[in-house]
Amino acid sequence: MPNQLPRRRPVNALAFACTALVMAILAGCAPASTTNSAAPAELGDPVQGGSATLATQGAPVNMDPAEAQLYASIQVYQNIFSTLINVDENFEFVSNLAESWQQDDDLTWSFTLVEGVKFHNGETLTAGDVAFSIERMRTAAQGVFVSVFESVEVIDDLNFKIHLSAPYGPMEATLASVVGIVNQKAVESSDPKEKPVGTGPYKLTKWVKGSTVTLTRFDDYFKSEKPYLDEVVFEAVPDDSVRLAGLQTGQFDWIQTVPAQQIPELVKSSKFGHTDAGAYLPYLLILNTTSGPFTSLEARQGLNWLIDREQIVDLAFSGAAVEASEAVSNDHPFYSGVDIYEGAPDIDKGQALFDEAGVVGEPIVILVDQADSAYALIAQVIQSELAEVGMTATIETVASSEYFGRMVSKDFDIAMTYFTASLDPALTYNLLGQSESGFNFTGYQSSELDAALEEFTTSTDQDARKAFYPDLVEAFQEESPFIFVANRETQYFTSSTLGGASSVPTLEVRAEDLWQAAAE
Amino acid sequence: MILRRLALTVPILLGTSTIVFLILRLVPGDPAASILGSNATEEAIIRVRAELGLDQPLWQQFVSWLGGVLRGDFGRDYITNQAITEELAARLPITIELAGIAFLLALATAIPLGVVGAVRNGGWADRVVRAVAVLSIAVPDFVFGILGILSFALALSLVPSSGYTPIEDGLLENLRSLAIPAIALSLGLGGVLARVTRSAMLDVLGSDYVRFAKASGFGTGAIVFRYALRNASIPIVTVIGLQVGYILGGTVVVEQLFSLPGLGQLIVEAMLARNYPVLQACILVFVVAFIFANLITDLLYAVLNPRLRKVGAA
Repeated sequence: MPNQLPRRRPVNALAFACTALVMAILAGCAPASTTNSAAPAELGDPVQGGSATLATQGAPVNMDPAEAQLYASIQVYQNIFSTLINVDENFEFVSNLAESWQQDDDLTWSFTLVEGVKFHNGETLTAGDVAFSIERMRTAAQGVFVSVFESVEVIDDLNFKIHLSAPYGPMEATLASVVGIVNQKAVESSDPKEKPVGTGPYKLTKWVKGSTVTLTRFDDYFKSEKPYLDEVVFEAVPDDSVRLAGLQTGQFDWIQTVPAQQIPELVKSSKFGHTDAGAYLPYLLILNTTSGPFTSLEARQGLNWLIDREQIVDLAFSGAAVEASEAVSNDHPFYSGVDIYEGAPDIDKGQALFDEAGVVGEPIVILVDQADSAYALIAQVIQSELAEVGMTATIETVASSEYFGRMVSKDFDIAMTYFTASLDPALTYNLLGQSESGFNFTGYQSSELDAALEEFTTSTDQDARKAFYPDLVEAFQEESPFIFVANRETQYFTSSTLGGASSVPTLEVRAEDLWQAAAE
Repeated sequence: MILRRLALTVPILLGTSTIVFLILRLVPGDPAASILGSNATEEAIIRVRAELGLDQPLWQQFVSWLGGVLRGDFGRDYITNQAITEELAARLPITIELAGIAFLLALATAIPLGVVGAVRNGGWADRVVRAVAVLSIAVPDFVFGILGILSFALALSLVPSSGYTPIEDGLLENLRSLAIPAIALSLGLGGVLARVTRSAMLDVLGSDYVRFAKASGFGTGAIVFRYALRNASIPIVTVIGLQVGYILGGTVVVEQLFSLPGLGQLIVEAMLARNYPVLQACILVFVVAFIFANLITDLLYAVLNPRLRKVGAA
């Protein structure tokens, strides 16, 4: 699909318990902005050797970076494959496989690869592999993210150009997020879903489906001092309290997601380390603008005035979230802080707008995906607030696979989803709000907002884009096809001897930074 | 008799397959959405549905699935694209081992306890047996599971808190990884079994021939084990046969809780993703297991009670 804006997928929870579906484009290489707060000084300098077991919520199912979409898969294979570009703690794009790059003109970017990078099968990385990886991705499940990439021109072994079909602002963000470089020979000789071969710090050595993935240090990794650990085991443990028990018994060195009410105690404990909490998962309400009360602009604005974000943070997230009204996290350089409904909840203002809309008394269906318990709690807060202005809302909780069908057929009034915090907000807003987007579940269409989105997306002057972004946020708040409510915090807990852990906006688990003080 | 029973399993399997197939299709939800991620485009959904054959009429899907099953081919996993027979081969042994250990544990503890309860009817030993039995029936296995993790893994560090160690990595490690889940799984069955054993034994111990044996000077041990237990075994075996289903159902919860990569865990994942072929295969395996457990129960009746042999032969 040339000439079409690239789309990112919002994140929705799918599999059992908390196996989050996180789309890769939003994920990818992330800044190692926050490090272990377990006083790294006490741990000293990183040392080589040792192993670590990381307990995750879900089990990976697919190791092909062009196809895999489950976060449970992505968080593992991100350590097997490398991207061309990385992002540092200031959201600056830095060299990874690409030693240098530049924009030649609106539609062309030139890249030079680091020399002598090896794949796990011994092959040397060439520009041909990059061309193969991108071409292959265009026709795969993740293809929507590179649809604006027209072709890759190989100049020599280390140099290539990417030609675009339209100017593209989030170019570097896309390369840093979603494009894992594969080896052509490896892909053609064995199933890439099962046998991933990348240039990353770890190679896959053992995979027990539904349970553990064992990664072993790749000795020829192109960053000479990394990785530190000889072996990293990802173990899927769906139950929150069992994962925590495993950390307490020393079975796990790193765990994902603990029950929110236990966080304060764990943070205080000297027996464990933890990463800083980062608010990297914005939750939003999706309003059906094609039928029902929220076809009315006044009703949508009225709903904005009713939302009690403080209560949502407390009730739905036990305080482990921050209030949010836009797509990017608070530490993102684009963060605007714009909120035209500041002062909400304001029942009087809400009531006036619902009266004006003439929809008071109309029934409202709040559709909830059972995969994430926060959705139902957010729905309860919204339900009680709607009751204050005389609106009766019914909460319908359904399985993920049904939820999606109802979203597509617009069989809801209010639905909910969450996103991974994006490296570039253009992708989020385009996906949710662009009229033709396949992920525009609100049904909202506006040529003015489309034009604004296009300007924001196709501009390649990052300063101009940054200056324009608050206007875009405001325009979407004004029209309110969707409403951001809270930004969930991500925090990992570690054993007291594990160094180098971080929580990053893209929710990447960077195993190459981890090391065991106990390995000495 | 065995042949007739085996022949009967064919319509039972066919019937359950049909029902399972239909019920799964009636449950709302779309596997294509699970495969693509829950926010895929409509075109992509239509394409994947066509690839999976989900756009065909239901009877056609059923016939092609049944044809595959008869040839021993359960199809491919919608999500991983792995052959389901391979997945079953990897996961089934874990579930069999877990269920087997749980089953043996229940038998080895519940029957002696039940006997003790009956022999010491009304005494303190009987009261303890009854209390333990009721407790283990009433408390769900996941509660025991969590308590087991907290006490044996967290406080005593005797066993790992979750996960499965394959036998190749050492039998002891393997058994340690299954100990708490197997105990949790065995408790429900054990409780029922202890109660049934106790009441069946009480019945038999109160019968005329036991009184006669006592009067003839036989010792308590001989009476209990040579005569009474053997005659009480019919209701005990019946309950064991029926409770196989309970154990199988319990693996679904216990494997999820302890992160054991067995069939029970696969069922949960497949259900949530509407991974139809995997679900159908798993449920079929459970149904077959249940049917055979009942067949074995019936055969045991004949072994335990010669009178039934004559009835069966007639």
